[in-house]
Order: sequence, then C-alpha cells, then structure tokens
Amino acid sequence: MIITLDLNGKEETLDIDPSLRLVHLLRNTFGLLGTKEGCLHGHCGYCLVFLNDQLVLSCLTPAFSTHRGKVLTIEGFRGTPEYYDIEKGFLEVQYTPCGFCASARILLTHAILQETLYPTEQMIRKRFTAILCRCTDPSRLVEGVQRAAAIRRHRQHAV
Amino acid sequence: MEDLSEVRKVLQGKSVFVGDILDPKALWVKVKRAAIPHGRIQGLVFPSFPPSVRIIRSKDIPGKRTITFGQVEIPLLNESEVRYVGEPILLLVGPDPEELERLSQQIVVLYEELPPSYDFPSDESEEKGLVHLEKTIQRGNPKEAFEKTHTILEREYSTGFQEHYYSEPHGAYVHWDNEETTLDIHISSRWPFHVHRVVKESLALPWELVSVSIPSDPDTSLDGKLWYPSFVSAHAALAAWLTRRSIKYLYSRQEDFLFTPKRAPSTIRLRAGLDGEGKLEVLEAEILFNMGAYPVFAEELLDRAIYALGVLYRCPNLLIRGRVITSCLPPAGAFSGMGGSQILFALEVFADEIRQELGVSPTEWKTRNLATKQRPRPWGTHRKQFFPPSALLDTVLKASDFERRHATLELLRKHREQSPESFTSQEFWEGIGIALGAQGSGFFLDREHRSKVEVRMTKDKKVSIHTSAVPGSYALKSIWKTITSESLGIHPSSVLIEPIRTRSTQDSGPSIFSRNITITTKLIEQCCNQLKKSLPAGLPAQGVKSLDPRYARSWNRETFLGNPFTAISWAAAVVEVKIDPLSLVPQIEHVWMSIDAGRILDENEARRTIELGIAQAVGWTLLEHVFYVEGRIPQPLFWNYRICSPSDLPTPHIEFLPSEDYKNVKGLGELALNVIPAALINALSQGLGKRIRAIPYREDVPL
Repeated sequence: MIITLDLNGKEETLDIDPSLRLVHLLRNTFGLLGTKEGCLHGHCGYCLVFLNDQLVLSCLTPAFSTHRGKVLTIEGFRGTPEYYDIEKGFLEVQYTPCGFCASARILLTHAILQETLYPTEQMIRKRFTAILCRCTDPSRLVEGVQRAAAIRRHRQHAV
Repeated sequence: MEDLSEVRKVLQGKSVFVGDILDPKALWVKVKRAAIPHGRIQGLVFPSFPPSVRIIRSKDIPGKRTITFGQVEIPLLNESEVRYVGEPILLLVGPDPEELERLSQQIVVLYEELPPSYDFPSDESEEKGLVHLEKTIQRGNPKEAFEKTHTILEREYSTGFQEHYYSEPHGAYVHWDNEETTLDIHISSRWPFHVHRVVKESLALPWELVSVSIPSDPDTSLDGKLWYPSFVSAHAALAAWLTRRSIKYLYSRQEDFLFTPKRAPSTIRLRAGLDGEGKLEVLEAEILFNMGAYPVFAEELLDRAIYALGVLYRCPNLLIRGRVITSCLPPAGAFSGMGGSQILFALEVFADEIRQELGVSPTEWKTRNLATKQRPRPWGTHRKQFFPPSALLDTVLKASDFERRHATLELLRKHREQSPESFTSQEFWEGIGIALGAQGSGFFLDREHRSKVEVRMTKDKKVSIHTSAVPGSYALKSIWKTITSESLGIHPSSVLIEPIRTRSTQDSGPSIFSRNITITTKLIEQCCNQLKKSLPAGLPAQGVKSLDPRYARSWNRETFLGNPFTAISWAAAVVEVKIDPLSLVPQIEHVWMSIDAGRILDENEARRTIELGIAQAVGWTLLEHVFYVEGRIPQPLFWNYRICSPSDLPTPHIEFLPSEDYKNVKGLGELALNVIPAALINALSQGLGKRIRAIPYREDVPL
C-alpha cells in the first residue's frame, strides 16, 4: 500500500507491506538507527518515537498508521533547541544512559517536558518505568530530567 | 570529567551496535534448536530447500567442534545427545531470515528421549551422575564442637535464577576483508580474545586470519556477555567461512531470554553451634548450585561461594560441603556477585535468625562475632583484608537510626500480632533489616588469564591506550584517560583509547569481577610510569605491562589458604520497607549503604555503580522470577519479566568511608548484590512477622 508521511520534517511517499512495523520502516528503509529494536512486544521501550506529537512504541505501531501523519525520531529531534535543553541537562548532572536506550530516554524526557516544566521526582520515576534497561541510576535520571526542565524554563523565559 | 563528545554522540542516537550494521548483501543465520530437554538424536528429516539456503551441521566444522572450559566441553552444534531445550543442533544460512525460520520449523528431528533432571536431587542417592564438582573444606573439629555448644540452629535458604537483561541481545556480524582472507567479527563481548581463540580453533585458522572488533559504545552487557558471545561468534564465523559471504546473526529478545545463561540458583543449608554468650563456635554448610547442562566456571562459582561463607565472621570450627550439579537446563553463567551473592544472602539472613533466637539486637550479635585481627577468618591472615573497624557499621547505623527503628518496629509488630483488632487494613506493615558483605576483585583463576596493557606516545606527543578490557561506562574510559594525562603531563584530549580489535590490541583478559578497575587501571598506571622512564631516550616511546599473578599464586585452591583476590571491599546496608497488608507487596522506603572500597577514583561513577547494583539486587530479590517447567521457561514469563524500574527504588543514601587501604583501587560493582538481598529480606521478614528464606520473594507466602 502507498503511504505518505512527514518524517522528521521531510515528506516521504512509499509503497509498503501492510504488515510492516514502524520500527522496521524507520531502521531498514530509512536507516534511522537511533530508534533501537528491542523486544518487538512493547515491553522494553527502546523503540519510542513521536507520531503526531504523541509518544508511541514503534514496534507495536503498524507503518501504515503513519499515513498522512508526522513522525519524529531522535534524528529529527537532535538538531532542535528542545533537544539541546535535554542534552545540556543530562550532561550537567553527568547522567549518561547507554547507547541502546538513550534515544528513547531523550524523547520520553521531551514528552514529559511538553506536559510540564516542573516534573516531580515521583512523576519522572513513574514515567520512566516505560523503558527497561539496567544502565540507569534513577537518582541521576531524576536530576537530569529536572535540570533539563530548568534549562528549558530559563530558555523559554529568555525568549 | 567525562569525555563529552562521546556522551553527546550517545545522546544523539548515534551509537552503533551489532544490530545497527546494515549490509544488504549479508546472509542470515537461524539455529535449529533441540525441542526436548534430554535425548539422543536418531535422525533428521529435511524438507526440500531452495538453492539459496544452506544447512550447516557439526560435521562441517573444519576445526575444534567444542568450546572448552576446564573439563566442560560445549558442542558448537550437537547432533548426538542434546541436554537442554534450545541446544543448537544445526544452522540454516540464507538471505531471508523469515524463510529460514519457516524452513527450520519444517526440519523434523527424531529423538530417543532420555530421562531429564531439572532440579536439585531430593536425596543423595539421586545425585549420582549429576554432581559435576564437589569440595569439602574443614577447619577445627566441627563434630566435637557441636557436642559442646549451647545452642544449635539449622535453616535452609534458596536463591533463584536471574536474567541478565543486557541492552542488545546476542548477535554477531562477520565479514571478509578486502582480500577475502581475514574474517572480521563484530560482536558485543566482555572477553574479545576468547572470541578470537574459539573462532580460530573452530575454523582451524591461523591466528592472523581472524579479527574481533567490539562496538565502542558501552551497552551495559554486564557479565552475560562473558563467554556466550564466543559461542555465537563461532556459529556466525562458521557460516561466513562456508558460504564465503558476510553474515548477520542476531538473537531475538525472546530467543535470548529462553536459551542463554542465567544466574545459577542455589540451595544452602546452614547449621550453627553457639556458646552460652552467642559466639559462633561451629558452622556447617551444605551448598548446592544448579549450573544447567554445561557448568561453565563451576569451580570459580563454588570457590567464591565457599570463600564468602568465611569472609565476615570468626568461626574456629567449620565444615563446608559445596557441590555443583548439572541439569537439563540451559548453562548458567557468570553473573555479578557470582557465588558470593547467594551465600551472603543466606549467611546474613541466618545471622538475623540467630540473633532473633538469642533475643539480642542484630548489631549486637554481629559485633560479637565479626572477624578481627585477633579473631581471624578461616582463610588465613592477610593484612588489609579484615573487616574494617566498627566505622562501617557505625556509619550505616547512625545514618539509618537503625537500632531505634528496629526496636520500634519490632514492638509494633508484636502489638499487631497480639491485638490485630487495633490495626486497620489501611495501615502498612513496616520492617527494617541490616546486612554486611564483601566483594573480592579479580578471578580466582587469574593466574590462568593473561592481562596485558600498552600505552604508546608518538613523536607529536599523542598518547594511545591499547587494551582489550571492555569498559562498561564512559566514566571508566574517562578515568583511564585522566590517569594517563595526569601521569604523563599532557592534555586529556591528547589521549586516545584505541578501538578494541584483537589484531592490534593487547590481550587484557576477561572484563569481569571488577578486573577493569582493579587490574587494567593499575596496568595503565604502570605503563605510564614505564613510558615516563623511557622518555629521555626520545619519542616514540611505549610502556607495556602485564598482570603480576603473585597474589593469585598465593592462593591454594585445595587447602583454601592464602589470598585469591587483588582486593576486598566491604559494605554494610540497611533497608526499610513498608508492606501492603492485603497484597503483601513491599515498597522500599529507604536504602542506606556504607562502603569501604579503597581509593575512589570518581565518586560520581562509584555512586552510579552502586545504585545500578542496588537496582539489580532488588530485582533479583523481589521482582525477577525465572523458572523452568519441564526444562522450558513458560512463554508468558517473557512478556511479564520485570526488572527494577526507577519507581521501585528510593534515592539511596551512600557513604564512602576513608579507607585504611586508601592507596588501593578496589572493585565495588558487586557490593550491592552481596548485601542488599539479605538486608531487604530481613526487613521484609520483620514487617511480615514471618521469616522469608527464599528469593525471589513471592507475595503468596503463607503467614
């Protein structure tokens, strides 16, 4: 079937198999390898991407469901000012997730900061249960997200 | 200060793992696995295959057909007697992984089924043929000592499996170099030179025709990628060798979960004899580990366990009998806290039961029985390896207000039991527990593993570190660069850690048991010192250093006397929980740890390592249920497997104490695994008013 989508700000039209998963479309067709393939059952959270401004598990999202939609992956997000808020926040507190779950953590942080610029520790800990990885020390994660929120508040205030 | 460019690359999603290597021309591999837990293969019936698909069988392996660990021989492909569900029988190689899966299911394997064994034998008569390794260690005269003791207490404890849950499942990418003479293997492994050796031997190739490369970004592979990547690489390299094509070979997450090594489960029976003052006069232990079909590192596991049993308390009479059994389950493997975590869980819960029996506080009994210079441990006298003075206990007791909290909660529990009507179901039950522990750094087997590091300085003063030690974090890479730059008086940006390729890197041995921090870091320091001395002769210059195995040679495996480790670090932990009285689900409220781990090179990273260990320990103790039914992990277990998440943990209170041994860099990655489970279970037991002796904890415990 033919689909058209906005992928990281660029319109793409392509013929796909209806059974194709979004994670495989991103990785195998477009070479967007920042989205990692994990369990393929919506369990681990490594494959999170934005679809129409909502965070989705791309392993459980049929590629055809992106038709006329807008997909944002880490490759599209990493050049934005919002990305740099998060990168700066994580670096300032020396929070370094592993390369396998980092993209998902960045995008999830962005989703949280879109909801509130004052995320509580409890909220952060709860939301990050969506990503299963042994790499993360929760205290530093909480500090990193809260630091990113502070940087974004400051930037938005300055603007 | 960490290397920010590398961390930025990670945050920007630019890390490349094996699964990220795109090669449209590569062929794929699928393993046909055994469907029964134990049996002889009588025949194979193949469907008709398209010409693009090739079958690879054991007889096609040109060289050695097994991986050897001591007396354990693991067949790379097994067409004779299969020993666990999922054991590889043969390989299918072709361009389409889905077609390979389909064809694999059409291959019929004819078995003669043999009786399987899964669990610990119920009595010794059933053990025949299952015991792979047995050791008995005795000190003093236990029989006589038991006759003289005032109180005797006997209990049994058990610990379960645990899944490694590393980021990327096992996999390998193998391709030929330009001249099509050398096989280049890309794999995530904690022991690159072992991969190299296994591939070289299985293909009967000269050393220089194989090269192993490790992805540069740490992937928290932990110890799950110690030896199994060699197995996976041998399959991938064999396929590449026979087809003369590039090979991409990736386990699915589910395949990885079902068939790869886990933490070995244990059963530990302890019997203690105490004098009238509660002093431990005699301890008898029966230790059993189930290591599955192929007991890799069985002796390491058992020795670490036996050693841990005598590491905390003075006990003049000791009888320890340790056994490793085989079973029709996937092979168990190395896991953080190997041997020590199981034993220290049992020992510290047992210590809590003893003090409860004696009616004294946990700290009173511990203080009375800890090994000291005057009351040594059973493994011999070693300067710097005694339990650090009371500061460690005092610190954690003070920080947690343990004595008061414990006494208060004990009163509350008793009151609840005596007058249940005065408590409502909305009130949480609470408990607090304490445990002590230690971690030995390095391998008992270090004398058998080379460890070599090289530091080079070019004419333009660029420095490169050549080691095959695989760092598990960016911070460790940063530590190595900082040490080098400070030692040689150059800017950190002039220091490069060479990418790991076995053709051009020094063999630094396996990256396990904190060897990276305790051995590789020291070797880098020594290389820099050597290089500095050669500077007057001009550039280029280099320093090359190998592990001095003197410390390993001082250990006698038979008598259990000497010093097996590069260093021992210590910890005390207190955990406080509250328990929902209806569901019996616990929530951890507070964790306190005090640690003596010698010289701390980067406190930020040390805290991170401890916190990761706490999460892993809490997962093993409360959440991570792995079990086998007739040799198979039930399918729903995979969907429901839950590791510890940020919402399961509070921010821990961690204190690093100034160490007597302040010059020595020690490991600390296993400390939390060795103290948290017992502290947590002791807290749970107090809260429930019911002693828990098995982990993982089950909420359906009868009260």
